[in-house]
Amino acid sequence: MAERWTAAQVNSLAPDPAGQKAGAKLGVPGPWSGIGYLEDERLLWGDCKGSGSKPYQVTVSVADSDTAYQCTCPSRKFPCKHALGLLLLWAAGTVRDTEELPERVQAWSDSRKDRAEKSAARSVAKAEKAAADPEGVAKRAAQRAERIGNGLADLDRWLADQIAAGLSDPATLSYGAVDPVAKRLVDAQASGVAGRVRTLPGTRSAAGDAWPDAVLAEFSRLHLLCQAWTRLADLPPTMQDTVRRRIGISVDTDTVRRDGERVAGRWHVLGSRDRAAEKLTERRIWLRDAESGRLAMLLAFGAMQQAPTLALPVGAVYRAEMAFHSEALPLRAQMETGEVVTTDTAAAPAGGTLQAAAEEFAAALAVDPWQEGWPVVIADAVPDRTGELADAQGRRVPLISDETALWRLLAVSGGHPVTLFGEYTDAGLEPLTVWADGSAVGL
Amino acid sequence: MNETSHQTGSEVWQDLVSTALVGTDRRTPPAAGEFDAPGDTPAAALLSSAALMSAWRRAGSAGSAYSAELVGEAEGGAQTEGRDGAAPAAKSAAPDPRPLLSTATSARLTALVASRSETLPEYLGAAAKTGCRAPAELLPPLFDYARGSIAVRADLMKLAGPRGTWLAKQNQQWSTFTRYAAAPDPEAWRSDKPHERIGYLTWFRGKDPASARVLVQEAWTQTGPGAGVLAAETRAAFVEALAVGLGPEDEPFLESALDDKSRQVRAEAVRLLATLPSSRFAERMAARLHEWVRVSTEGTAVLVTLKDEPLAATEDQTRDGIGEGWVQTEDERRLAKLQPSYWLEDLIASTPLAAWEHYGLLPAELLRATAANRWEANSCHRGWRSATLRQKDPAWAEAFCAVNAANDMLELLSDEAAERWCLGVVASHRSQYSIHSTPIILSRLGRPWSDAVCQALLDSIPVYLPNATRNDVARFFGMDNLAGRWMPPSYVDAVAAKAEEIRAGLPLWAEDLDDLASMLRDRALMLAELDTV
Repeated sequence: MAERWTAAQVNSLAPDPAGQKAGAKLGVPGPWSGIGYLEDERLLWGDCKGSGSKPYQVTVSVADSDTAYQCTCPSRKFPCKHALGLLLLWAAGTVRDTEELPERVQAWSDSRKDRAEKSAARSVAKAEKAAADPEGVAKRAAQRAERIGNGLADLDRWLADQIAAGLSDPATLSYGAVDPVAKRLVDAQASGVAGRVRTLPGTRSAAGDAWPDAVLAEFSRLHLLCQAWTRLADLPPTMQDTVRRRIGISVDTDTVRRDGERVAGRWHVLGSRDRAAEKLTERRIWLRDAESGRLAMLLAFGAMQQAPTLALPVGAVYRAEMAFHSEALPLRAQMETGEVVTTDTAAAPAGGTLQAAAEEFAAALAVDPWQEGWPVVIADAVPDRTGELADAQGRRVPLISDETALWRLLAVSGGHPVTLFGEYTDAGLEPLTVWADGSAVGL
Repeated sequence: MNETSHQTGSEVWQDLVSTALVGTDRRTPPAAGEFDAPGDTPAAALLSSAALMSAWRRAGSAGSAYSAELVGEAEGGAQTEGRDGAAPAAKSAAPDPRPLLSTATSARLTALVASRSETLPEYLGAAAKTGCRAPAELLPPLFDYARGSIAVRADLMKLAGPRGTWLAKQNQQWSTFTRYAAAPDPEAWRSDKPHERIGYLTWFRGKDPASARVLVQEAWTQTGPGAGVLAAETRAAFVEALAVGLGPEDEPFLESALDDKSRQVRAEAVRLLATLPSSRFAERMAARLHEWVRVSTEGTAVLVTLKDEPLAATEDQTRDGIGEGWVQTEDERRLAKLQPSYWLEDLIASTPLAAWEHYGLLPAELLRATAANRWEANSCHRGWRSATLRQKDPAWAEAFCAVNAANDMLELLSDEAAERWCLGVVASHRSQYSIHSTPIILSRLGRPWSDAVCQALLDSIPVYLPNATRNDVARFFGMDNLAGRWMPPSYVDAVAAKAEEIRAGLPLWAEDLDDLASMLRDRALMLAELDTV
């Protein structure tokens, strides 16, 4: 039997802190009527009294791989506070199991199944069409490669021009100077590079006095991408895939499912992080196979004011098969088949030292110089309120976190050694999950 | 590569950065080594070199920036001065053997604090009684909540245990919470921060009044290297802390404090001595009062008169807080010399209120002394008021409330008196005055509310302002939904029944009662969760 979610897991679905707060207010039985839950279908429903005369009708599908919400309220936030409130009630065990679905829930569920079937049929049809016309597919790919090549050649020339003229001119990295370059790259279908170019003014202002170092480093990485594209055929196949991804050529999930390396194991959910990207919320979830130590990173997106639908409880263990994207440094994966083994988060993963973490990060950079950071588990780590972490060997590293996360971490540690998961970067360690006192706590 | 081979990596990087800043048009870049492709421009060659060197720098920076030799420095400097400048504290929290709150309770607490729920104080109180501890990750948001709510601090610190005490010390914004901890760190008494010493003293005094007094006496006489002289403010606060568990055994020390050179200290000693009827001070003051003041009645009027013979300042009087020693400004000093009203006010303010029983009149009767009497009446009122507040006398406070329900007096009422007072207001509730004062009164009631109050509130609804606006309705139940928070959940049926009874005639009231009923239902459920722990 699949277990009910934890309150923390429900909260991770909230589109923003205000939504989380509003949801928490509705996580009491008072405003609710007609609530029920059907375990077999993983469907949850209820009516919530609002300010109007008619209650809002809420329906939620809580299948792990296929979370979906529906509510009759006019909110554009997704999930809305009513769905979150209902989920909190359910997580707290207040919603009783029922055997029958109300008519409206049945209708919603049927229409979703119907849509899923149609969408599957469409993707099959698309694959068949592609298989039937290999020449057309190859031609389109060649056209795109040419466009990208032209765009990157322009970028490389622009980069060299700036270096020739000198970076000290403040106009070089103004928004007005950078935006046309980025737009050109979008036109050339190199969205990954366009995004990096667009953040250049931000990189400059965020780095403070060290901005020349930060800007030159990012310029050089862009230059490296442009150069890698011109010599793509000379690179090993997996490195080619890494360069393609960095440039912005995405691989669809069907391809990964078909061609990706499959790794079955007992995957421990190490941590999760949400970041607001351009008009999107990007969620990363890191897992590690307990036996092989293999790491995997799942990526999910939510549109504006919507939380990504993928939410795995931190600390839980899944018996699952991962399909990895082809990369020089395979990390990104998608979960193919999976069922939760335990949501008991007591067992901390095995951790290493800060020295080992630094070495792993260096090894990752050696393979993929565009890598931002590397997921690591540190054992016997003691955080302090100066915002630093010390390990058992007395090594220290700055913690990259906001005040809320730092105080949470300090509270859980209480000055005692804890196991910590985070992303190791050249600026320090961003703490994401801490294990202590018999549970995993997301930061 | 050969040309630069004698340079360190950092020097090569610096060279690349400074060339990039100036521009390769104006300055020849450092040799690009084996990475320059044929036909590359100098700028492209520089970028290729930079790509290699920046990967090298990133790979090394996080580890090397905090190598072992820097650890010592970090401990010397950064360790003592936190992000927030709070004082150094114990390295780690003491263990807490109590079991963790159940998952359901923790989840409930998480949701309540996230939404800053009105029911959080009650829930914290109930959770603190379970003998469990709160999950550590919940402490920071709860502490942030407690910054705005003094009332929850004792329950919160109980629930938080030693982990909470440790954490509160780490953050200056929370550090005062430690005084509410179940067992503060005895080290706090040796702290150089007065508030930590006072926090510890107040707690210790509650546990063992005699030993706590000895601590204060020792601190008084402490001299020698490093001990330093206590600031007058700190000494005064120490005396003030003795108010907890005050008893006749404290009298000798307080009597000796009357000789202190600080006016603040003497004022605190006078305040405490006045509440000890058996103290030498109380006897002296009562004797003075009875010698100088006559009280007579003419019909319902009460007259307070002062002896005709002139008042002379003596050292004894000054020591006991009457006269010159107590005035602060030059003006006051001049007036005090001229006007006997100041003497009278001082006398009354420092005399135990019990001394007035001698005249055979109740506080309410004495308060009837009006300005029509003589100037003495004004002085009396001011003096009684000060005396009531200083001596925290509930009987006099109740008499004052009957005249004018000011907040400071309401706070002094006993729970029974507050309830009597509240029932009185509800029974005579048809004036605007009572609409505005209801929230104040409701907020003063013992929690949860008694049956008598709940019943009276519900009974009053049909007759209470039938034409009430929504605002009036909201006010009746008090600001911050006081009824929802402090009516016992068992009243849910009575509230629901009342709502149905009046729905046709008073729809606004009925809606408000619906909300109240649903809040009571939620609370009943939440509290039931705790009972199953």
